[in-house]
Amino acid sequence: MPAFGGGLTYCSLLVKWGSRVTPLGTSDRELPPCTETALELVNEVRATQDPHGRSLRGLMAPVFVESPFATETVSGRSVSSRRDALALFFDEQSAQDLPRRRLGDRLDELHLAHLLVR
Amino acid sequence: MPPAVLTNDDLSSFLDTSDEWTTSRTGMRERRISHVSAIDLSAVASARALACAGMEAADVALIIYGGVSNDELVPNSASGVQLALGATKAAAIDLNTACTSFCYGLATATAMIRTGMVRNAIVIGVELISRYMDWSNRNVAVLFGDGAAAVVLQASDHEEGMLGSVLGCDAEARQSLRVRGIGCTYAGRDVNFGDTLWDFDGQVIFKRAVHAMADASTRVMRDHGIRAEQVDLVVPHQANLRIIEAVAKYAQIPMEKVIVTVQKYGNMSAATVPSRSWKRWKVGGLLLGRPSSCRRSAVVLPTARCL
Repeated sequence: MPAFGGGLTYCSLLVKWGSRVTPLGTSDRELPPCTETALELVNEVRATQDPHGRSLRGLMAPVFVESPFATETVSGRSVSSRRDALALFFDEQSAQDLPRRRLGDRLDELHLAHLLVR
Repeated sequence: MPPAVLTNDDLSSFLDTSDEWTTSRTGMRERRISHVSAIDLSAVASARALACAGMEAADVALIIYGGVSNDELVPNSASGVQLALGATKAAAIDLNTACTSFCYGLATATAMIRTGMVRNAIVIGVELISRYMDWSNRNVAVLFGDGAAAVVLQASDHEEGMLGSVLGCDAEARQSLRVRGIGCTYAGRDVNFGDTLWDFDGQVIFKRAVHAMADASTRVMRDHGIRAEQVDLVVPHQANLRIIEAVAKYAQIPMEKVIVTVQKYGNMSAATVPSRSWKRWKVGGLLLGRPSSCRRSAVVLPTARCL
């Protein structure tokens, strides 16, 4: 059983089937009936989504553990900190102009400190 | 499996795709979309697996819920399955290693049985990706589907079940596959829950996945003195037909021995390996897979207990 996934995790399992291959019982448990088509179900989800609009900034703002900021260049400008990068992203003149009280920014500060320690 | 089928033609009603575009790149023709929660899917699969094993829910010692699709994070999903089954004595663990979650769960449960921590376990692979898919991105929207399956592991004095495993992680490539929008890092950033963007570097994933799976398969066979020609059946993760073919080629195993369901169910992430893999297969004189009298998505998989 070879498999891989996000992470990127991977594995391969060696399985030997047992001597008993017939079921000892059956179950009548069923899913409830589905009254919609798959396309209708998907369209219901689509109607609630706007990832490229209202959520775009928030989705793109985080910088992750694998991002080496000390040598990063963003939009042609060198940045030496996570907040500098955020300032560029949010079109601010400097990191000091960023809102200080937002939870996401605080998380970024903590993350930067973690990266610097590393 | 959820009954609702989403075809490539359905996708082309709102994406710039066609059946030919999707099939030629992925081998996929349709996938399932769930109308119920991930816990509901898991509970049905688990109840059927228990019936196949002839076990009562009250005797279950461990439930491992493998997948990235959690109805909630707190309480965890395995506890919801415990409640739905009435498995009141079971420990309940959520395990997330993305698409490998079922396999990692199988390895974890086997180890716990072998060390005597538990006598048996239900291991679930489940996904409900349709609820947070970026349906505007054709590069990922065509790939994934919903589904669930469960197996029951029991202690045994025979050498059977999962004999060996190679588990690993190529974290240097972790940025090649990311679902933006789920996790604590997005708190306080004005992200509407359910809105996601997918970082998906298909070329990197292809190369890394093929190498990792082929290498892991070679190692697990070598560690147990098994040659490729002795393998009766390969049950690979169904991310993409091209990846499956490449892994089989590298591992020197003919495609006739490789289970391929990607065209009908797409990539169901953690649900992929356990779900539609258990069809009738003659392996070493034994019938491997889901017997016809057993309800779908359920299988009994005994495992060795080595004390």
